[in-house]
Amino acid sequence: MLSLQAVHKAYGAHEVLRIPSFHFAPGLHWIKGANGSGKTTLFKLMAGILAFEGDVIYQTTSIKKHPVAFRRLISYAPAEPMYPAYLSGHQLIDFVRRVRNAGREQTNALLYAFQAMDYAHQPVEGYSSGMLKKISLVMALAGDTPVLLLDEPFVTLDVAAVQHVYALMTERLRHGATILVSTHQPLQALEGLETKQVALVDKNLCAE
Amino acid sequence: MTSVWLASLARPFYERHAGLLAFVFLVMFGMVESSQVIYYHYSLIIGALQSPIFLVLVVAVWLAYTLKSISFTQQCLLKPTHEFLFVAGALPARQQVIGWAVYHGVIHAPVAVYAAAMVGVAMHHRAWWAGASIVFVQLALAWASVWYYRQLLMAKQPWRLPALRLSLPGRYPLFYVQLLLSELKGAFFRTKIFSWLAIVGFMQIEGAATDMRIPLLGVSVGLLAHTVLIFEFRKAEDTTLAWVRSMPWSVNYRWLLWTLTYALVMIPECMVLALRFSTVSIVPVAMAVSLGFCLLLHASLILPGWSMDRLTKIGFLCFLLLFGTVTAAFYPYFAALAWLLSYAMYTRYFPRVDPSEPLAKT
Repeated sequence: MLSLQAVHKAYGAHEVLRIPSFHFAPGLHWIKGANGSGKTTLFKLMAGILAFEGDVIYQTTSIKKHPVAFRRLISYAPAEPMYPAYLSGHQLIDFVRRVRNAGREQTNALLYAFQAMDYAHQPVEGYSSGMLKKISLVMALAGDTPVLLLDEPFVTLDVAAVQHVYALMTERLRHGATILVSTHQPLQALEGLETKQVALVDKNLCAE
Repeated sequence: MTSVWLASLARPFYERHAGLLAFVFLVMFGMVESSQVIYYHYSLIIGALQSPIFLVLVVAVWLAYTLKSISFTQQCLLKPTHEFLFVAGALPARQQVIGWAVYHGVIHAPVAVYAAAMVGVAMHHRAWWAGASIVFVQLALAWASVWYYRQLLMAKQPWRLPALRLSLPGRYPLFYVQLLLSELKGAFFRTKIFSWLAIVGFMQIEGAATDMRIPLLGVSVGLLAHTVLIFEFRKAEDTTLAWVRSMPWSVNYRWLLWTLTYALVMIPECMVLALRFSTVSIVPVAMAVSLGFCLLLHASLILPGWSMDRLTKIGFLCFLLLFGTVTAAFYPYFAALAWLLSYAMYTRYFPRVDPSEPLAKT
């Protein structure tokens, strides 16, 4: 169970999130909300990128009390990945692979599956948005984290890559993962798996 | 047309490789006493002329430089911004050859100057074969470069070299080293040259080889120039590398990585000091002082609302403090205090501040 407790986030005087309490059971959760409703902020604070008031707890591990252990359990793929232009896809993936103790076989298999092997040695400055998206997904899927935060994972991806993301999500879900997906596109039904819809309205989360 | 080539290719070449060239310059001329530089290089050249193996190694370095320059030119020509240069393919062959030869001469100048000095020494010592070999190699490299550039423009299916690119292992501190050697080459070059000049300048003072305070004053002046690099590191940490915050690292470990990163940045200064000072004991002292200074400024940029303006003021204040404590031989206290203060600031504020906040007012 992934729980949010008294989560409050504001940028200066502009309040973005105020979530008294919310629980995500293992499974697929589709986070819905209008542009600017705070979906990306929610994902970033759960990933440990943004500071916030309150707490996020996965099972018994709190991001505030056990920041390192919590980050070991969670992976995040940003909606608009931004990496240093001078680094190559291989360097970025190699870095995440080492930090998350993932096998090279796993990341290579992901690169092949996303058809990213041919360009991963080049600096990211020459990538299209779709190519960059694939690298960010490989980085997020490296290792075996039980919680995946995928912010607009299908935007700019080709059809084959989209299907591969669904296949990988299905595989992770069957192993008991908790996956939060934010997308404005209709989410495909996954065979034998339920998709829970969660709306982000008025700075708060509510199950639909 | 030649002036267009020089402006659109040669100038970016020197801008992009300024850091590397500065490092080579530092290694070649900064490691020995200024009074010994000419004799040192004269001895090196004599050694190369008398030893075929040594000469082959020198030629290998020239070849690597030529390949690097060819690779850079090829990359530029493939960019949409440089497509207009293909109009040169309509020029008469003679004009193309002259244009490319001038271009090669300009970007090959550092090698050509040293090669000319070697030929001069060879003639003086009547080492005709060695001198002729150097001339032959230089002409061959020029001919090959001009041929290669021409075929890039003229051939239907030009032959292309695989891209030569520095690719360090995927380690966090090395990300910043690569930043210095790619996007910040110009700033890195200027900083290190300034730092080197400051150290060498202070080393001219009598007693500098034995009184540790004198070279440390040079280090202090050089550190002031590092403010720009520190700011760029913080900016990268909060923008293109902000996602690293989601990695399972403790704030103490992140602090250690920053210590390692700045230690890598200060290696050139430590090498110069190790070679010029009477004992190598100056290296750990200079490193401790430098790390204290850099980390203090880095941590000050974690504080909410900080900007380049404030960093400049704090940097100057820290410099005055460092300069004063070095003069009074209190530099161990400065290093210890700066370390402790910066550690306290970093560990307290880094987890509490959003990535974009410190740079919001820049």
